[in-house]
Amino acid sequence: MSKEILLVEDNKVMQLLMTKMLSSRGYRVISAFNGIDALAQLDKHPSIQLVLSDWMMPGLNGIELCYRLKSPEYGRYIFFVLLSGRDDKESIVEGINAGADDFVAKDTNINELDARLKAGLRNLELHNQLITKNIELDRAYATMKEDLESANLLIRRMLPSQTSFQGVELHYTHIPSAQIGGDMLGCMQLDEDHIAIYLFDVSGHGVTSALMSFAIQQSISSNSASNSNVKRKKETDPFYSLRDPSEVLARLNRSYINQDDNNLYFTMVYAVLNTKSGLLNYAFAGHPPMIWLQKQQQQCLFIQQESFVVGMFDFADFQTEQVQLNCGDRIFLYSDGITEAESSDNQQFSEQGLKQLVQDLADQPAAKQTDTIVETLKSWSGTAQFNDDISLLVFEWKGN
Amino acid sequence: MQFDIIEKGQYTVIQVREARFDAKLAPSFREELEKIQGNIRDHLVLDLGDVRFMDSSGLGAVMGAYKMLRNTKISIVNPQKPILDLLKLTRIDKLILSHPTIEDALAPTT
Repeated sequence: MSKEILLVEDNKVMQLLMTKMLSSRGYRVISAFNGIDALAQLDKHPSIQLVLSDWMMPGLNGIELCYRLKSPEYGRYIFFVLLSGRDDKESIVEGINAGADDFVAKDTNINELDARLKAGLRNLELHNQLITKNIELDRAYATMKEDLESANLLIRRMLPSQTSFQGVELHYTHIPSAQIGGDMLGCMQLDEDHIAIYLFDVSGHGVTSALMSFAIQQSISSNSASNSNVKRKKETDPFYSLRDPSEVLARLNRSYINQDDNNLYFTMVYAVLNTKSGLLNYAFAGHPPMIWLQKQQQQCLFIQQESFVVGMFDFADFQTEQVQLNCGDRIFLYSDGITEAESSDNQQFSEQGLKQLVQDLADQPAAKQTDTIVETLKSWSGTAQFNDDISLLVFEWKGN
Repeated sequence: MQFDIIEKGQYTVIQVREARFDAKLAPSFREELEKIQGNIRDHLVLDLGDVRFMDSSGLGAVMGAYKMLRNTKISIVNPQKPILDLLKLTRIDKLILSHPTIEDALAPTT
């Protein structure tokens, strides 16, 4: 950085002398006669950051000038050196309080003065580098934030848009954590009589998990008959058959088995509902239980399976089981972000807590019920911004 | 102090000294494990007695340990109920047996 300095001195002779001395050491000296003049000069020369100022001056004295330049409102970082004949302790305390960075007696020889000013310049250099770095960081952060937001939008677009099917109504909530996350859910019409409903949760948070969840969603929903994870080709009419939920999970496990040691995996529940009969086939992969709200019996049950997660073990096997729904029954799928949400005193919301809440809200329509659950969860954890992804999907079988 | 590691001849004990085995802790667990991997002989004992909560990343780290040490016996000691439930839900309890104490884990299997 250039050796620019503002010299503030009311004594003309002194000013001339010092200017000469400093110039001989390579400083570019701008001078001012008092504090007011100094402020004007600084305005005129926006690159000056080093100020060497006399103490006693008419108008605005050195201390007052120092206060002005060191106040947070003054938009420039200044290294301020007070010049004075006085080096008694009290004055120095006064100077330090005003924010002065260094003190030099008027009779100090040029070598020491030069050394002290150079120290000031080094300080300024460091400060300026820091500011530049900060600006770069702010820019990089802004770019990343924008990227995350657009990624979030993309993820949002992968959520189901169709929520009403013949005989089935579906509602869901999907709230990614502060960072982007790995929860995803979906439903799709497999054929005239069947819809698939699923929810999965990729371990960890952030871009890696989100990318993986994006890929998995594609693997499930891409429905090209030749290579579908949910349907099998057949030679005879109707030329396809539906894959069992356990087979769907096994295929995903083969596709996503992790080769590198990043320990990335996902838990999932995949279910196929016969919309005519209400028969629900399902398979779990290390996922928390579904909740079954039975309308007639007015009770809630867990549907659960102990099972391996997807993407970790090549030997993992999965099982299909089934339950018979009755007209008006609801099934809840969710991620552990809900049950592991903690209150301020570290109590987890828990699976039992969720089941009880579903039971208590049994009279609400399904759409309202999901909203109320999320609202209850927010007030439970005392925050609107959850630490983990929150996803909740409920479907109701309306009967044939 | 996140982990205490005791290496004693045939077996190695890792004590996890944190209440939360989560995304913050999992990477350093992995690092520690990689460091001592070569020294682990017959039996790795994971003492999870202090762990009150384990999230998906913590579980990933434990499953990762199982994969990393394919030919080594691994035991978990003193897991609290939520941890035990999680291990059961994901069937890890079938791969890594849990014991109430280190002595039980080290006792010859009958």
